[in-house]
Amino acid sequence: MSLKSILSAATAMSLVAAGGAMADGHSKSLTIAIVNNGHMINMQKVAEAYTEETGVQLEWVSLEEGVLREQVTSDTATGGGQYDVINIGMQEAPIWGQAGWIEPLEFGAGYDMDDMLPAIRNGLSADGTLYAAPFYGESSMVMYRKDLTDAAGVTISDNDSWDNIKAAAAAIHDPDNGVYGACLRGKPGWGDNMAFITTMVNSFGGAWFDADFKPTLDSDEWNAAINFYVDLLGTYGPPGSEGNSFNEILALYNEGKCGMWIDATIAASFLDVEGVAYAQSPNAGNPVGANWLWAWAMAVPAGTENAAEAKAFIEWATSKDYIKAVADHPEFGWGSVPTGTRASTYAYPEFQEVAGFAAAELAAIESAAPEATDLKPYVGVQFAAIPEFPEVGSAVAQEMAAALSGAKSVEDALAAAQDAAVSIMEEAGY
Amino acid sequence: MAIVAHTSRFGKISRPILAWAVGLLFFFPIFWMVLTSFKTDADAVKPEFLIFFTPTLENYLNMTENYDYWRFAQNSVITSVFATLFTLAVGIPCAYAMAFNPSRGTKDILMWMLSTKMLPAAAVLYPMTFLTKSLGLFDTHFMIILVLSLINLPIVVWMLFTYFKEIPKDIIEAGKMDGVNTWGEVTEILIPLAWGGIASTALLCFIFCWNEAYWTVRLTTTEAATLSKLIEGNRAPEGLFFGRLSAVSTAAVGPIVVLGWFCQKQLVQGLTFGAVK
Amino acid sequence: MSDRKIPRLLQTPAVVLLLIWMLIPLGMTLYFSFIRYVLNNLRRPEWTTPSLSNWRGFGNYEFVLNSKDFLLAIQNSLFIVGSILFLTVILGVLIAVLINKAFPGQGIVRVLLISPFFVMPAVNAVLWINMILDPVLGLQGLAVDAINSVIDGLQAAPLVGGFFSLWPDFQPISFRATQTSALAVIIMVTWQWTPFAVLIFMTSLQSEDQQQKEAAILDGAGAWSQFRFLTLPHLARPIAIVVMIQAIFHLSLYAEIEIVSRGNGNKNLPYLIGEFANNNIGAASATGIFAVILANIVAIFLLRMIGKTLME
Repeated sequence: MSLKSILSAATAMSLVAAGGAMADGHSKSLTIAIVNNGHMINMQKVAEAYTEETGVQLEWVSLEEGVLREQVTSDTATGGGQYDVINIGMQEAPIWGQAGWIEPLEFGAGYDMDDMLPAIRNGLSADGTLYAAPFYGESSMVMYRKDLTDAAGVTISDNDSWDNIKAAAAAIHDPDNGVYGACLRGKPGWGDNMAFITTMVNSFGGAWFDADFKPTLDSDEWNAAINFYVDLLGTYGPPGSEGNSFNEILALYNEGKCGMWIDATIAASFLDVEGVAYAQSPNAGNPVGANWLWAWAMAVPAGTENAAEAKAFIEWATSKDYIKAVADHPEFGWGSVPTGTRASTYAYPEFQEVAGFAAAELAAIESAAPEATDLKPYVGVQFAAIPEFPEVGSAVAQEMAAALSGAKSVEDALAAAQDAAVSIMEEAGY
Repeated sequence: MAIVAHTSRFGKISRPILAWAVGLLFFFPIFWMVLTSFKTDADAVKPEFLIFFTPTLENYLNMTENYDYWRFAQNSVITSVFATLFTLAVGIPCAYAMAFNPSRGTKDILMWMLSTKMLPAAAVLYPMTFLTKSLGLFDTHFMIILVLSLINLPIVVWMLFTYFKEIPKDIIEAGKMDGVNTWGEVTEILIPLAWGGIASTALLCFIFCWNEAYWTVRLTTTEAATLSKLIEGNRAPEGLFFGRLSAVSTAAVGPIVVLGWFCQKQLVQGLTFGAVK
Repeated sequence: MSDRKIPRLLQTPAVVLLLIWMLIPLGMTLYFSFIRYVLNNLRRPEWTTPSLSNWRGFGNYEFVLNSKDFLLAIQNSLFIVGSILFLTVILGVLIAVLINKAFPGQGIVRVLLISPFFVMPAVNAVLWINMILDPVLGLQGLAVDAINSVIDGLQAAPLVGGFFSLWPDFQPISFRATQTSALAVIIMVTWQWTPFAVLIFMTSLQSEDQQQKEAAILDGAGAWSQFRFLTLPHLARPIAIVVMIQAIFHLSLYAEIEIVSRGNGNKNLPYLIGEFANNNIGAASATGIFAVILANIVAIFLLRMIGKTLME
């Protein structure tokens, strides 16, 4: 190869680049960032009909949750323009709305806003304005193997006490035959182990912050809850629990390795094990409730040039018609519809027939209370809808994983977590 | 002499066995990934289907159906090829000058160049995103090629420098006597003489470009997104799909592994870093 | 044009490009590290735009120094890099010497051996932590299960059962735990980079002076002394190269740490930067400056140790 050919290649390179830049310019095309979850992946196929109908081309970018958050944050924080529609969660929606990063959403009368589950709607709004439309919603509940509990002669009831849950886990725990009594999240991450741990702490009467936004991880409630958690999961959990989150436990459960699993209600639609039964989350007797609330929602970043088309797309993708379209799609059906957003979904007899978990899921979502109350000053159940939370949550999450691994005592881990949380909050001007 | 006899017996029987064992051990994870990619997600975690199972192409079909695999692959090829060429185009003259007309500062410049590689990318994510956007270069092949080139330039210059240094100065001087200009010195004398070194440098640069995953994920949306971005979209899906994960991984690393196989002779002979006596 | 100018001119594009590539981001990082700059803050919205009026002096640095993971990150950066270097060099030398002589299938073994080097870091991490090291569903879990059931079987067997009943059940190791997550990263990176060391050592061994070796054998030198006094000195320079290149790459490990344990028990400075960069750009930038300083210390150290061999 001569240098001449290298040079001509370099010229060609800039031409390719120019071509790439030009290709950005075509109109009526939306770039949509999605989390790589099943419902969103399915949406790519269902939305082919939308393109046919409206002529709007859809470009999908699917990313892992953490990377998506980072990308969308860096895009919006630098003025946006990269995406027209973004997938965000309940933690971000109200904050980003208040910061002016995403646009308020208003839809036509046909959208039937009142059909949206109130808890979900509140969680995605700030000061009464909706900033992100829910694509699917979830709460948490107990999923367990009824065949095992029956054989062991124990029962699990709705809002059971934690002691009963532990007793049941002990009764069905049979590691020699590869069955573990309780599978719970342990992988560090504010949306992973902390989602479960926070709801558990809530049920023990604790919260993240007091009324002045001082972290309260040094409280007795946290101490009691974490001690219980480490004991329960350490004794009756599968090995390697500190690396398990939703994905890992789902695989374990479907392999028949979990006797009981407390996690997102959405899990129920993926379970293909015989004899699964559901119960509302355990509660140690706290009025805030014991189950979480989450929604993956779609929002329009403030920097986009295609805001009108983006809003129109979101209106379609979160409508009753979309749910019907998934149900009627030859590849999917009622078993695959995104749930947890609209009351009308649960009214379809076809849906009730295929979704044995429907009633339990609806009850869990409706009983979750994301609003700020006297007990906690922030919006959100298993998280706090403040910009600093991801940082606080991740720091605490790692300490909890260290406690679960046995690298630290619960007391040391909580003390370190409290210190970290205090310093992050002080740093942020609280 | 007894020792010699002993070593040769080792050479005849134990060495091949041990060498094959080590080779297979190192290759095993890749083999396992390829094997798993032909299992359904349900079979992939079942011990009874560990080795014997009904192979399926389902995972690959799913991938090409849900993702624009060919666009990712094409982008990987385009950006890696042109970044390698551009790096060489800038690196060869620089290394040439450093090797044949070294000054007191040459060593420091080289070390400074290498030290730029240690700058943590995460610290400059926002400045870079902002700059790229304001220049209108976000999600363009041009930007990715530029970034990949700059990331690899230090290593390339340094490798080339070590090769060029081994070429006797007399040969270049002789060329000068014959009235060859600098351009001629590089294209007619230097490049043919150092061809092995240049080819291995290019290969190594290409591999690093292909596998880069920080900027190729963060400075692209769709147009210039490479296979690393396809991996980012699949590495933790909802559910732990070993089969699907393996298929995407195999499709992403397959081309570069095969290329590496074909070029392994060149790599083995070329990675001398100028240490040929 | 004079003879002096041309070489300088030829160096210019590379030097200028790298200078820009380094100075602009570094300049911005420095600037951000001295001001209050967060992406989102509902209480102090003025901090969300970078501006000199948010000047903070060394406040960000102080915050980072006092954060609980700063020391862990520095220690771990060095620990991971050091362990990987140590393992890859030792394994690399042994394997290169092993496969350097001709044997049946040498070419194929070489191909098998170098393959891991071509694998993307994210694929490497996902492959190892899920499919191989997972304590229940991965190969490790399956293997431990199988061994335990074999032991159970032997315990039930007559005669020998009594002996085997003394054996404990094996417990699988969780590689995502606080105590082990650094180990997992070291294993997977060593797997990927040992082939690189093998490649370079192998190349170097091919140029080893065979006559010298034969003379040594005639002198009655054993295999070990050949290796110790001929091969190893010959490999000094390639070892320096392997150490240098790998140190550069491994100081900025990211994907592996993220995928294995999300920073639980194992993080380095780049990962710490990533954690701050979620929101607190000022702290992330200050950490970035610390990382630059650490990189330069390592670079000077390397230069002292091996720079001479490299430049000769």
